[in-house]
Amino acid sequence: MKRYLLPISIFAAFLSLFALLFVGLNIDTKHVRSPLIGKPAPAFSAPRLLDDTRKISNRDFAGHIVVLNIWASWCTTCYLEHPFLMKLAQNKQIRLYGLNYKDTRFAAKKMLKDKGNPYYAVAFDPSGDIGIAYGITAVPETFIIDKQGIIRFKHFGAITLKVWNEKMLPLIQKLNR
Amino acid sequence: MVRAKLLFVLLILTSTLLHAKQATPEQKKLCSAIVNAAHKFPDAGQEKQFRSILKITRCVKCPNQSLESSQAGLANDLRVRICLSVLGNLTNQQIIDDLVQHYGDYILYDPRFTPSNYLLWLAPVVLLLFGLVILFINIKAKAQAKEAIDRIDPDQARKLEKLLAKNDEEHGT
Repeated sequence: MKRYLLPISIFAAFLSLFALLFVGLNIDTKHVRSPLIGKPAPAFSAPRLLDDTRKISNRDFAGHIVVLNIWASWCTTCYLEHPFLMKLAQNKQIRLYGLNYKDTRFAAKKMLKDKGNPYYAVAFDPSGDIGIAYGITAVPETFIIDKQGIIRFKHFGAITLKVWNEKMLPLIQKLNR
Repeated sequence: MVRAKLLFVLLILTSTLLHAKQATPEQKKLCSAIVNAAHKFPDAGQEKQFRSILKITRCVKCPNQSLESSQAGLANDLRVRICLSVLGNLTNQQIIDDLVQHYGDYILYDPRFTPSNYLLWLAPVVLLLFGLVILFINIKAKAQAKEAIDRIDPDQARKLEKLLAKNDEEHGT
């Protein structure tokens, strides 16, 4: 028995190495965990998209569970996501804020007029500086920010029903307790 | 802990303000010209600093390109941000910290020594130690076996060697 010990342990070592590499194949290397999770939402202050006389800042988030959706009228995936956001707007547990990223006021307003406006308020970020502060890589992206203003979750791309049901909704219910 | 958290909040606030507020329209104009290769930094040292940072940072949108070579819109915006930091006389470390704060270590090509990649950094050392331990155990076992053979009388030793040789043949070790 003892003389099988070495070959078996070498085989086991190789097997675990293969398992490790196999798991590595399925890791999403493009959408890595945001370093902002668990940290305060980056501070910003921007004009509102629909009313440029008024400002909106991260301080407006305080006391609410905020779903912050980053979008643009030039982003085709945002159109796909839009009907879901319209439904989300009915949810009383959250406040759905928008961050309009690198867009023109005209095109962004037109999209909301044509398709409907799901947002409680939209911050207008034509330069993309706020987007960079939030570490975005592409639109759409969505954050969940708790009542204390801490970022708790980030989703890359359009929100799917699966992500909503399995991750976002349970988190929101937990934060609301 | 609370103090560390407070410090962090302050850090985020100040760094965000630094970028949003301190850049003058002239600086922004200069940086967009620099990024579009229409202009160079007035200061050669700053030019060098700017280029060196672009080489070691990843375009988060297209991970196999550095910020220096990527044509993505976001890469352009990040180049402008770095350019403004350089004009604002930030050190390399400050500029890199700013990028990491928003995009994580992912934006760096050179992995840093942080808890999430201790395994990556320490695996070679651990494996080497593991090998050394096995080597040591083997050497010791062999030496002990030899000592045992040396201790028995010549007759028995010859018998034993014969047995061992036979054993080796059978098992091919």
